Amino acid sequence: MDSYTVLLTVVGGIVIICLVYDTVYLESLKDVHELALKEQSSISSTRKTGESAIYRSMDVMHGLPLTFGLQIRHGIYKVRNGNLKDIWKLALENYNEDRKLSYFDGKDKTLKSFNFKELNVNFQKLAAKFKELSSMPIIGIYLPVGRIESLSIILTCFFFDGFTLKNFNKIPLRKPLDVELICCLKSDLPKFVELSFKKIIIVDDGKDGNDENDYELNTNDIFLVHYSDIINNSALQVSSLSYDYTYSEEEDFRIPLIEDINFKDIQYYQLNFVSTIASLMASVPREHSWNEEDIMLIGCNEFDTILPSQSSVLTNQNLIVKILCAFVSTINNIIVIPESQISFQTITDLNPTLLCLTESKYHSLLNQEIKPMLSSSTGLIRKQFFHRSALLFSRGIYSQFGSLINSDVRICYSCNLLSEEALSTADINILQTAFGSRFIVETFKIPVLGPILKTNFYDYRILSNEIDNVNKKLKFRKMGVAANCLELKVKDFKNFQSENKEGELVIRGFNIGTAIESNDVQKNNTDEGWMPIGIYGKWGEDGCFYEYL
Amino acid sequence: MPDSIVITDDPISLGSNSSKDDEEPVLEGKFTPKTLYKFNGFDTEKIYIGVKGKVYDVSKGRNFYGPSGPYSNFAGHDASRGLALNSFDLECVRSFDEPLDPLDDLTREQQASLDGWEEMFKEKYPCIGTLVNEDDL
Repeated sequence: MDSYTVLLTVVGGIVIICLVYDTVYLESLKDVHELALKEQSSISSTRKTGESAIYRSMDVMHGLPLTFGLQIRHGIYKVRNGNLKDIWKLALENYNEDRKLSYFDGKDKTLKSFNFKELNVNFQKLAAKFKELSSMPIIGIYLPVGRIESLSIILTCFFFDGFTLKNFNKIPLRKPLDVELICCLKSDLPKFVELSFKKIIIVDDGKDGNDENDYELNTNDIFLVHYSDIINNSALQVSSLSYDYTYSEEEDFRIPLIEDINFKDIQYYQLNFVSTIASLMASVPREHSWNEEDIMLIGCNEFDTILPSQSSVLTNQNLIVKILCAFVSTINNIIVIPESQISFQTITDLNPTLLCLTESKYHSLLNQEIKPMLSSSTGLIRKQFFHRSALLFSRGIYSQFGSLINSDVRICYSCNLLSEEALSTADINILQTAFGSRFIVETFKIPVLGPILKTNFYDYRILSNEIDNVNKKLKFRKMGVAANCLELKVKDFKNFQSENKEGELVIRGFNIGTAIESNDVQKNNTDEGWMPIGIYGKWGEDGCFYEYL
Repeated sequence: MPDSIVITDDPISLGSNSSKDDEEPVLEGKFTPKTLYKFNGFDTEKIYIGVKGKVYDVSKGRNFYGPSGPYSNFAGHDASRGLALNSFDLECVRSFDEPLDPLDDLTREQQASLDGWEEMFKEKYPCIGTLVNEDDL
């Protein structure tokens, strides 16, 4: 055999190996077949004039019921939807002293952890105090949810004694007739006294270092209670793991939450909560579901300021829903930290497996930490690994070796609040490569509790034509498919023609809040339960919804 | 973004709505015997039948209404008389070029039978429009 033949054989061999590697081996590594990503929604066979067909998640195809409850076994054959009390009962039944809820303490700048026994004791003490102070079932709060005190008050209302929480995003203009007891920060005390509230719980009871701002009460008829006094009250005998709850049908119809947003009230029913929780749990494939090994890190708003924006309300709702989901699953540790405190270093230190941040936080991590790391001259091999891993992701193959961070993050949840800082699919590719993680984008909008749309767990595609080259801006944002408890369609809107599958998104399902009295939300909610949501875009050929930017 | 990255065609560009007509959702609206006939299960995947002036999409019951199914005579036609008489015979089904059956000679029992069928269709299949004579369009 001459040298030419040997060379030809070697080159031919290499070409064949490369072809087999590329077309057979890499294809076999794909998480799902690309056809699965080309048909992500179940689409109704008919449509009405001026409307698109109805789109649902493939998990709840047409012909199947939408997800609408936790399906808790009741008796031998019956199942029921469940309610928030079931969730706390479930959390206590799965008690393990290692399971904790950790919150950032703004005063000490440290994390404070509470196991479920400690939380249960605090809830019982708070519930007893609420009962003592308020003759009305509605408890008002005007608090930043990024504090453990606020969360304890919220969860007490959800889990104990039939309270309803009324959450104000702005200080009301006059005292609401249905609220007797208000919980607020010390700095807001004068405003609530001015509004003639007689029963007030202060959560930052002068021990946060602002004693000089102590407010002198002029009247004696105001019951002012400090949160710490309630929690430190050892006179009240409570059992750490006892939870007195037997199911009654009435509980399913209780309203646990009223959001007072810009002086308009939206009610959220038990069914809204359990449906959104059940949908969220189902948005992850069973083999990747949340488990006892998981640590969830959730970014929240600042612990000392109340932002009145709707984005802030949605971030808080997302935080609460995620914590409730964590209670239902057997997740090990839940850590809540203001987003401003979260960096690559924090993520490395806390080593979460589930990361829940807003889209704008991912944007800042991308621009302030990941891109500088990639453009720096150090770590050439690491960069090569990163690029290879990014390429594999773009081909539908999950990989971790390109990760730029020493952590075990396995699912990143991005909370899309429809801000202008949209993440492109190319940005998401970089983020998931940097974290070595899957990435789910969830879209939120008032008055829906929990996400309206979610992207596919296995969808790593980078889409062409995303950027408008003239303005250097994103043209559309991929939002994915409907949450399992909702069905969606678009209607004609101005120049958008539903015939082309574009228009205004309208929604129908189980996690939509109900407006009280005359309110735009309710007025619009008359067309067979379909409600316009103010999001404009187009259904893609893949069954995903794309918002026009 | 690394240069070698794989880009997928975006699914919403103009002209990307290239799916076959058969896969496109049908517009709910008015059908005539002629336009309904197309949906007989032979020419398209979709199977529609008319019952008491309404049109139902029975595609998911292809085993019953599709070709060689026991109710295949009803596919793409107004099935009202056949259902009222509990008969699958062709005599009970009018051709697409005939006007709609007024059903005014049905007995009380036959009418009750038809109402029962209608309830079943309402529960089981999506109603996608109404069935009218061509003159009424």
